[in-house]
Amino acid sequence: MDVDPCQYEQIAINEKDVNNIILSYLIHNCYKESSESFISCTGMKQPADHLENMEKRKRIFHHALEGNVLKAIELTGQLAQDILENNNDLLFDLLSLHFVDLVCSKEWAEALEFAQTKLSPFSVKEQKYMEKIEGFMSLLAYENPVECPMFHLIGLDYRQQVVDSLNQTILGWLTSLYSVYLIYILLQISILCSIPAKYDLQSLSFCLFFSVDVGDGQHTLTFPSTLPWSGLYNRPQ
Amino acid sequence: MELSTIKDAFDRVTKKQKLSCSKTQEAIDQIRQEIESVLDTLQSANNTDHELDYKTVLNELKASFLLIAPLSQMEGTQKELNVALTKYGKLLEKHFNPDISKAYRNIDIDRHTLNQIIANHFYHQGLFEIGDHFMSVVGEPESAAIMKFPFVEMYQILEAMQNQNLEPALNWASTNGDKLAQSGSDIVLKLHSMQFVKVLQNGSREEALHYARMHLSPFATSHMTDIQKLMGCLLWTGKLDRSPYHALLSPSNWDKLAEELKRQFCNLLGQSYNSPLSVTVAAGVQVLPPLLKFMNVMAGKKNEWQSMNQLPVPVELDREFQFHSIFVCPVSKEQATEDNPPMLMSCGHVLCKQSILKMSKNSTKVFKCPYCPFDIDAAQCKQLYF
Repeated sequence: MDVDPCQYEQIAINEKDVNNIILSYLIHNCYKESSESFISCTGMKQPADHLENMEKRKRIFHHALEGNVLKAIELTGQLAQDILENNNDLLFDLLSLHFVDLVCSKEWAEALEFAQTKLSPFSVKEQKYMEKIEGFMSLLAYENPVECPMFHLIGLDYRQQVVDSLNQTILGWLTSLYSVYLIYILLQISILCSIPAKYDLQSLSFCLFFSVDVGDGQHTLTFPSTLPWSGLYNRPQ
Repeated sequence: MELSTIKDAFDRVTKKQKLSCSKTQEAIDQIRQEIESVLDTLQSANNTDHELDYKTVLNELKASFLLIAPLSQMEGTQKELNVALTKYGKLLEKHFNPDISKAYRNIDIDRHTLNQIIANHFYHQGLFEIGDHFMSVVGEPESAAIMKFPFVEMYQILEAMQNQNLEPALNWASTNGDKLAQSGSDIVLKLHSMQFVKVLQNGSREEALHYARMHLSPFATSHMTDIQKLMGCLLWTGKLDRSPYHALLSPSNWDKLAEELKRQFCNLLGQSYNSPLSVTVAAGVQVLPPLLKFMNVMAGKKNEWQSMNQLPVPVELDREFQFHSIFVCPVSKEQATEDNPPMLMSCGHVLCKQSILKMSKNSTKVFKCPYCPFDIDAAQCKQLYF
């Protein structure tokens, strides 16, 4: 049944469940200090090896954002060999970020060399990469790349988009089946809409059932007492 | 025109001629052989004591000639040749009109104007020496110099381009950049693109990159796709022929570019791409056959042809000769002129001004449109411009 928005204040949500959702968001985005503070303030149980995994992702994340893309690629390869090998689109986008860094640093010769040795091979595989490469190459036609009509390629939005894609790919590998982000979204939707939801993950198994009786305010949303969040970051090797 | 029939007839004449020739040669050889034999006999007889009867020897020679019968030998093939030749002549008369002077009209034309047209043709075609000589003969060397100069420049540019040297063309484009931009021409980008590819072909990637920044980047906003492809070429320095962009190396690109440049050059001069004289002659050649046919029909009225202002039969020119629309009034059947322009009536149909004035009694009456039942007020008709 749909909940009348006027009745939202009548809904009693288990605070523990809300805390779990918040924690998953913080972990997803590598907010290490925030998640640690949150855990200590709320008295929640700390997931087993979440710090180590988050630390790895955070390092990759920051290397990519701060212009050290090659290091990020290397660290991702150390995490698992096949994450990028099986994802040409993401690998191409990451390499293009490095090309953009060289262009912005005005290292024209290095940029040309890099494009020829690292980006060109992609165009031999598929036609779609050819058009992307041409777009990046047009940045070279300007002393100041900002003047180029393709200037969005050197903007933070594009970089953030690629890095987010990398982060999700790593998380996807960690969970194998679903990204935490997806679960996070679904959980929020489930709570708001009171839709019964079942999730059956490889290393997770939990059910969410909701019941809301807005008549007398006596009933509350109920969850299982524990959610094995640590499993999300501790996939069996 | 079907020329294979004429060629077949010509081939038959050729074959018969060869056959007749060989027969004649054969007969002549035989005659010469007999004469030489007799001469040998006579000479050898002089060395002996025997007296030879010359009359008898000559009679024997005569008998030999009669036996050979050369005339009857050659007669057959000669007759066949004449038959084929006659047929060929008749075929030519049938297909080619031998007297095109019937279509000639004596038109008074200003000699100076005619000289200008002819000289312009020579310079337009790059025949500068002929043009100069012509103008000096007709006594107008001063106007020749004025007319000639821009074409000399154009042909210098085109000649350099044939040697794949774009520098004169780029200088010209730089000088006339504003005018070319106004006319919406993209030849400047094409010239720079070709030069960029040339620099790249020489294997200098840094120079190519520098050239792109100097000359290609200003076109990026309006020609982004082209710029992107050209910049993509940088990845294939030294091996452009094996790249996805190998079409840029095609020799036909130079021909197209040269034609485009000539077109734009003439456009800036306010002249047509083709020489006006050559266009006129080409159109005339196309019109001549129907004109001659018309002349045959009008054979008995020579004088009328000389004085008429307009052909009574339509002639169709190819699309390449149609430059401007000319309106023909459906009522008066006359072509519109500046004094008699086409007018758009309120019903949407078009008549010439004089026809409207006539039908409306000098704008004093409402008249019916010839095409539809609408009543037309002459005051509401508007002049049309094509």
